[in-house]
Amino acid sequence: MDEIHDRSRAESLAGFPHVRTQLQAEGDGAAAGRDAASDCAASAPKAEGKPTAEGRTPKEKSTAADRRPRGRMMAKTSASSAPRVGDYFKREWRLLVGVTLSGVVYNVGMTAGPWFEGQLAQRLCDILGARSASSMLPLALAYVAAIALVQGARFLKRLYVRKFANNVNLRMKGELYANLLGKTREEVVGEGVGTVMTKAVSDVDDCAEGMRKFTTEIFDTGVVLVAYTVMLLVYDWRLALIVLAFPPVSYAIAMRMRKQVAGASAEAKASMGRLNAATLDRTSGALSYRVFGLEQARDAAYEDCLDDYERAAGRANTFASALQPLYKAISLAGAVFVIVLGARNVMGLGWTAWDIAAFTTFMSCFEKLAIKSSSAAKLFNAVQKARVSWERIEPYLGAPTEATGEGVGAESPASTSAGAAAELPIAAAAVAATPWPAGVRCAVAPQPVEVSDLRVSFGDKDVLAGVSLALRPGQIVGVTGAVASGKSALGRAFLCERPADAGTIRFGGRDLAGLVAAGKPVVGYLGHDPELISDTVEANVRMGAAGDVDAVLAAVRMDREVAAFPAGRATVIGDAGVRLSGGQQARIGLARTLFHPRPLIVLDDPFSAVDSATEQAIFRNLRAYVAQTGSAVLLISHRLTLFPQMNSVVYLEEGHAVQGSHADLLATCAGYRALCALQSARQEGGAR
Amino acid sequence: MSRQNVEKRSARDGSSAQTFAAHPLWSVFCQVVRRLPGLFALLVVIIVVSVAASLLPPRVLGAVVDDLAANAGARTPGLAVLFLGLVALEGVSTAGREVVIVRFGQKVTHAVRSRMAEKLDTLPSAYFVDHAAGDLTSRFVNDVNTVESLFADGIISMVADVASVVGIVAIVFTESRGLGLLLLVTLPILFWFTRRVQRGMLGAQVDNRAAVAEANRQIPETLASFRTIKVLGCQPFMRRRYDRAIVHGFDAMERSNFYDAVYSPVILTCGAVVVAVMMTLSAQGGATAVLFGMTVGTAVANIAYVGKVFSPLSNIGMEIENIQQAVAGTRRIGEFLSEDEIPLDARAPQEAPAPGPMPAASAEQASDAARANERGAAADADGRRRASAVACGSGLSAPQEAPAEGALLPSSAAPAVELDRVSFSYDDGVPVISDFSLSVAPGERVTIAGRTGAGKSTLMKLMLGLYLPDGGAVRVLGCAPNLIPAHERRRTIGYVEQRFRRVPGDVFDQVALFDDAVSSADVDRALALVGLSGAVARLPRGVHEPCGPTTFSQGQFQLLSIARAIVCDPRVLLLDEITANLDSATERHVLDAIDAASSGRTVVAISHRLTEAVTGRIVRIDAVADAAK
Repeated sequence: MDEIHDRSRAESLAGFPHVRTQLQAEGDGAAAGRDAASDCAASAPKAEGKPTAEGRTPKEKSTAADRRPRGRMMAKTSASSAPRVGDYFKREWRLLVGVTLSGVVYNVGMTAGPWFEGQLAQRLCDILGARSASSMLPLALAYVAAIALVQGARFLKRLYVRKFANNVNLRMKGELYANLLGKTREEVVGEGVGTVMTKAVSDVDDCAEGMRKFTTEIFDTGVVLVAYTVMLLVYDWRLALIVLAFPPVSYAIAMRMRKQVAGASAEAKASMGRLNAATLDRTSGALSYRVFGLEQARDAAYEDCLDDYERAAGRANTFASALQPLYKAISLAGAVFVIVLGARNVMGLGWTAWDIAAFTTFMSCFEKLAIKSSSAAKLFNAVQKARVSWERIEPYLGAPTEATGEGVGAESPASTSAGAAAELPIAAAAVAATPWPAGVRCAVAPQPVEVSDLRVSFGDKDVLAGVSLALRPGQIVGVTGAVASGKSALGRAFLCERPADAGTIRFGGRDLAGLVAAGKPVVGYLGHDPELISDTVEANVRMGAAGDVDAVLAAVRMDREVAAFPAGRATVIGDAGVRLSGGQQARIGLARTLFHPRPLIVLDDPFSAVDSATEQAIFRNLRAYVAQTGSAVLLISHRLTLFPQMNSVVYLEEGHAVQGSHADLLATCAGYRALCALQSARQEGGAR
Repeated sequence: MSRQNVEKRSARDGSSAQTFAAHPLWSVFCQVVRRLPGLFALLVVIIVVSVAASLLPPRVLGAVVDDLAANAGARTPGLAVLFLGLVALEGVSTAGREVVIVRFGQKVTHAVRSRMAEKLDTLPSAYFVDHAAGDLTSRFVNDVNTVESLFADGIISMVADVASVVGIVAIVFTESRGLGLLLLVTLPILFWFTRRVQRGMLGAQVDNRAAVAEANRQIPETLASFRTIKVLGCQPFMRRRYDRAIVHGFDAMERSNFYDAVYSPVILTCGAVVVAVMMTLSAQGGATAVLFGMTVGTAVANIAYVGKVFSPLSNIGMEIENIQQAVAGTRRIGEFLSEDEIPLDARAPQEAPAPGPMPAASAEQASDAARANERGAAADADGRRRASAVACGSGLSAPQEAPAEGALLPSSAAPAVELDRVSFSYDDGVPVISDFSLSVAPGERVTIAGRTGAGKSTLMKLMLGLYLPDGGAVRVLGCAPNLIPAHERRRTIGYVEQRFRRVPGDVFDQVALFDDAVSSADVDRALALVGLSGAVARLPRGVHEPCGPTTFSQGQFQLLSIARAIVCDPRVLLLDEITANLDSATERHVLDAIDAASSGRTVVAISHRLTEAVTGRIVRIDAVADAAK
């Protein structure tokens, strides 16, 4: 693990020379810094928005289960191309060549300003003495021409450097998002929503901004400092050496302050993460808090977050902005020597014989150099800030790996079949006439599914303690049981989000987890949360795939309701489908699941918010659907009205499962019998 | 609440928000100045000092050069020390200025966020349905951040820079009238150019902010839909959506970059032209020389001043960007703060009601009542409540009716829940509920049944006071539900949400919802009532176990939702499709628990199917809905 990070760090240094000098200057601290960086990467996914060492101690359970996802994430990080700052510079080399050319012209040309100003003053001095007044005009014109050329180069440099930052920003955000999508759900759920948001937006913005400033200052500070220094040495090398001692003093102080600046910046970021999480809770829970009369109480808690942020951000900003004027004053202190010793030069008493032009040029040159070198300290802070951001986003950057199967099979069912063709048999064309369009079929041919002795535990509690069951293509199997009997856990086990603690799920004799990890479109799933996106009805059903949306909408009995929406299928349904009722959300979710045919479909309580008549109708359509696609459906429900029509029934009790036909279980399984009796009694009670 | 209602009753004039003085942020700014006059005065003083300190060094330098031109060096060391002193003063005062600016900016953004949080309390419920939480969060986070940079690197720095420009022009006039006039001609032209750049950038910035907000919104959404994305393998689809948003922002940023890049070079080139003209004319002799009237020293000083006048001017160019970004953000914040609010007469009183004819329930009394209940002396507490409560006015009624005066507190004398010829429609005007009446007696249990889309959820929101009826009246214990004071709400109405909403915190927080009035005995009692005591006790840290998505099963979360609703022992319990995620055994268990605890409590449930019906009366609303359609 450390090795990977050592390597990526070393490579990142190659593309980021400034950071190298920083790290080398750290001396012993460099190793510690590397450790901290790898630790940060490792702890990020587990701690809730607290990637610090102290966030780990008491709160985190150090169970093996906790460690697992971390290890996997690290493996993935190493598998994907390790992100390096240098890569982002490399990819933009054309722009950077433009920046370099215009930057060198601009910055070397910067010395033209002081030189011309000295010449202008000298010429005026001469004219006031005896010389002809007409000699001023050509000099003045030459001055304007030189400045125009230099500023023209500056315009190009500024434009290119901004374009560079914009490109990096775009690429980083894209990669960040792509890699977010590439993580497993377990990895992602471990992080606070607010923290991820901050990462994605303000960290990338800060980082790209830092890279822009870094690139800018390489020229504006680096090149120009060299040019000015050479010029000073040429005019009077002894005086130059004296006055050049001052900017490094301010630079050294800036180095000293580096740790505080970075610390304050990191603390402000963390505080902002907490504030953002509080904001999201306050806005997304606004109605809940209103219902319970707690709006003002929550405002008070929000106020605490604001106080904390004001304190942290105030400190960070003070460090970022107040130090520079002080650095500038220290750098400029050398002007005393310029004035005193320079005056001696002019009067012929010093080391070198000077005229007024030389004095003015030297003074002007030194002032510009001093101011520039104080912004070198500013550059330092910008790079520091960028580094804090960079370290936070680094684990999430880099080109996403296609090997894990992301991107396979989303364009259309056709493309999935191409991906699956190599290893799995392609589904045969449908035989029976059904209301479904003939094109609706699974890309991967349906196979028998066998679960044997599956054990799933959370902490030290077994939720499923050795469950076995079987489904054949075309079957609909009902799963029921008491609350917390492990129904939902069984359904989620087919998603293979985490390794089973024991036992296997086999699809056509092959390990399901392996197929899922390889991105094979085998499993379809609809959970309690329909997970709708803020887009149109149609986009929610399609999720980018081609096919007949009307057919699935009709199958889930949403066709008429959708037609009555203001814009029909193109109606935007709001954040998480908030404009729809609970029943409508569930049915859109079901439509989406059926729209993407899979040989194994898990439906966790899909009809809970749907009335009985609709439920029966949808179930009939589901029958026709599996008859055509050959899918096996595992239908988890706590309501048993449909269970007599199931191909078989799985009854869960305390983590153990019994499978059989409805009639068999009624005869043999006391728990199932009791459950059925309870429900039919209630049904009669309700009908009374 | 129906939006037409709000619009009809809104006192706000949309156009007034356009003018600067009427901008809600302006009043926030003024409020901060009033609250912290010392800080504001310090800000003004330190800007004046830093500007003055930066103006004098070129004059000192000019004196040195004049001495040198005259071959006199006696004053030089003294002038050099003076120069250094001024430079040091400039450095210290500028650093101090930055600190004060940052402090002040923080105070303002803090106040803006506080004001926005308060605003949340007054927005109609429909606002939250119509506006994505991510979008709202983006206003709080990103837009206010731009306000922060507005202060730190924008307005106040700009004021200081403008002061520098004015100071320089004034000082140049004393040395060379010709250059002063030259500057007076040049600066307006450059100001015009500055304005052009500003306008060009504004459009680009607005687009950029909108695109950033859209991209921000997609990230929490992606996390919420993560399972679906994984299962369907639709990562490329989601990526394309996200890419669209960020590319939109990228394009807008490119436009803005052009203006940003071109501004400063143009300004500095103009500076060179001014210097060239000045020097050429100074050299001419005769009338122009008199007008410009320069020695070599003043020439050197003036070249420095010209450099100094354009440098704050080009800083203003940088600040334009910050301010423009913030203007786009402030506009969005202004829109938010100007959103129509729940009319004052439809809001619950914020504080405990004033003493006088009704010594109304204070927090103290409320917790008294809770304690009394704990001892099992419910009747006693009830009596006290009755004594303190005042009969409601007309209840939650159609907008035209003015509410009764004074505080409105739930009364036990009235029907527990009463809907009196209620009509309601959403924005589209299609009636969802029309002329619907229902009276639920205290202690009665009613299940409202109807098929999907018949308006059950709407009815629930009306009973909760989240929506106001277009016609008729809704009363809970004789009181309009939206007018029940905050501290009485949880003791009056308990609400079991359709889906459990986990809040950040431990198990205790899930039940108490950060309500100080809820004691740990209350939480224990509620957990026992819903049968979660055992499960919670088995957690490593009991009720103080941090609550994550896998701490409980779906069913247990639903039980937790009920515990949350009943922890304050409400007299009316509203169940929103309560059994949706419970199996028969748990459903029975929950209903039994409610049975045991609800003597004297009224229960209104909505349910889409009769199998879940609670014992008691069933009201079907299909017929109502059909009639409406």
